[in-house]
Amino acid sequence: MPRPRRAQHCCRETALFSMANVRHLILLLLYCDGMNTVPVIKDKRDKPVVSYTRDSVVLECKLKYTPNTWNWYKANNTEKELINVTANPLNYKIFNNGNRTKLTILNLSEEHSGKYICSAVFDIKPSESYIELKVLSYTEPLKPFIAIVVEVIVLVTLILLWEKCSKPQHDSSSAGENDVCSEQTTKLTRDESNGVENNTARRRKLDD
Amino acid sequence: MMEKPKKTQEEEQSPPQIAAPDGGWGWVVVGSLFFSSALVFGLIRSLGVFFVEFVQYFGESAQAVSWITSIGLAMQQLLSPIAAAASNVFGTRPVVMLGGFLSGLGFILASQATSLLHLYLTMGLISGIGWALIFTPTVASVMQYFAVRRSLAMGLGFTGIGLSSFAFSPLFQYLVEAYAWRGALLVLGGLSFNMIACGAVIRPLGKPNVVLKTENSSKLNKCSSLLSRIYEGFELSLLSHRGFLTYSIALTFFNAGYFIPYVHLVAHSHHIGFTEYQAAAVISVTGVVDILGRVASGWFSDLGKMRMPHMLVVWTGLLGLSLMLIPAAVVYSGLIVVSLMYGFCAGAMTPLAFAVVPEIVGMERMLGALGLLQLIESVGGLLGAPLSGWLKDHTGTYTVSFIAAGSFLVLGTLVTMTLPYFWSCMGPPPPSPPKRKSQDGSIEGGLLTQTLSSNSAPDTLCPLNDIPYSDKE
Repeated sequence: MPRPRRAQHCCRETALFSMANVRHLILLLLYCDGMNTVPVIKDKRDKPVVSYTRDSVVLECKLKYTPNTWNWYKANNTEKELINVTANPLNYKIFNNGNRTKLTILNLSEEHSGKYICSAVFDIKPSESYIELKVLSYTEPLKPFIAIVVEVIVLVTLILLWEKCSKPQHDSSSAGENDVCSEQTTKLTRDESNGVENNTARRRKLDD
Repeated sequence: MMEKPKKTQEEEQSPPQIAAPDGGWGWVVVGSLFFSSALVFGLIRSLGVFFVEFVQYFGESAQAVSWITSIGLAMQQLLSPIAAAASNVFGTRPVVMLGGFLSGLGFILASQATSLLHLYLTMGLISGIGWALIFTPTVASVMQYFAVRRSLAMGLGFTGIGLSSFAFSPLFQYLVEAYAWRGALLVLGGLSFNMIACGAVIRPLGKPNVVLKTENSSKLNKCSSLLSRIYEGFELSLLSHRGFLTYSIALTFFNAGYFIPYVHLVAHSHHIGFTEYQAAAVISVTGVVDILGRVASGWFSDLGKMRMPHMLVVWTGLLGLSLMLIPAAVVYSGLIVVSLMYGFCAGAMTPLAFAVVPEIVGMERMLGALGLLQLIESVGGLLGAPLSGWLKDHTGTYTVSFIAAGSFLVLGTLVTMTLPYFWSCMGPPPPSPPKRKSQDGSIEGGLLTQTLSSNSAPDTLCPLNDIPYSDKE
């Protein structure tokens, strides 16, 4: 879990200077501790959480200590907007359980994409962490899927065609092969003494 | 493609079996086995990435989610006889193509799942049925295409599993990060459709067994011909074949012990005190050596210096030994050495375990035998892993589990030694005067083996000039 190193150093140096007043020191140490413990997003991968429209997603934050309360914000460019569950009970649900909090967003749409901030409110200062949510439409994975399916169809067709082409004339009864390729091979392998009559008969058969 | 005119000539003479081309288009079928085994077993091995997602999304326990793989694997093994029977009736190509379609369909439907039950039914059941329809017929086709270099072909085909285990984990991770698990499952369904192409490549070498047999016999009435079709399709006559029953018991024991290290090696490494990276290095090394073992064993076995059952016994004995040595390795270098031995032997025994089947039951019944064997050996797999887990829970360490796994393998080795014709230097005699013309046209060769097998030498290791493998069809 990434701890902000700079804050730690800053806290230690400030603490040394305040040794005179023990009460101040204690408050300062508590403050430093709260700063060092950044809430941990469960299974955070440094990559955005992905979900789909009309699906639901759960964002979770965990901390070592239990804060007074949890708040969730959505970041709009530079400002934070508090997520108010009572105003939007259909879309948002917040479940706080001691040192954990879960934000469930239902009925996702593309506007829900963006940065979400979970804020653990302590006496001294709130502790925050963020996670990014990306909402995709269903067409996104469909593109590689359709590409692969097309590739499979082309491959199967090529394989079956190649087999029909490279087979020497099996017997005349298997005239279901209506390929240009097999027509050519049958023309080449039948003896040339057969007249046009035979060719037209074959073509009529192949047209079936 | 020099073999094709020869093949059509032989088909017109209509012998029951076609001589194996041993090359040419056969290598394309090996490629098909490569991709099929990669997309079936390599896929199954790398599904762990999804399980993390499922646990988080559905809120279920890891054990409930792991049932998905269990159901899929169980379907693949239990339905193998049906796949073999269908191939006997319809030919392998349509069966494998249908299997490819079903396995893809299962994943596509799974991407729409709203509960864990949906995943059981789609990823587990439907895809499992698809995998069953793919694996056994493809393996049988490779064995039909090769006689002399059968083990090498099998070994090369199975390397797909090892290589895909390396490639799929990062790929799946990327897919899940880019498209979430729903999109990733959809793309994987598309990837599984490639097995339809793998099936299209398997050109039939002759008419399917059941079609041939019912054509040759006269149909009395529809009912008895249907029953006889079922009987022939499933090759149920094998259940009274002593060699087959012996081998199926041996395979069950092998299966009980074989998978345990895959499940427990990482945990055991952690338990002893090695770091995550060290444990991962052990697994990677084992995987690489596994691939080498498959190819090397296939190549060596085709040289013909030792009979296949003897080689199988050597590899499984060494495998059992190395399993029992794993708990004894407390130093990291020792663990690496033992894991190398384990990986190599585990890979080495795989192509032989399949390639020895035609030698026991004959080429004609090979397909049905493979199906039934998979069904019977699944019992071993289903019992082995939970048993070792239970042992670990009761004793606290993995030592007893590994020793139990090793002893299962040694037990299987001992059972293999009771195979008929095991202690003879020559293989079992061919079933009857050859109905088929093998590549050497050896009617004389067939008579020669019959006279030779009557005076069987009791040595386990045989002299170099053994009978040519082409007679073992």
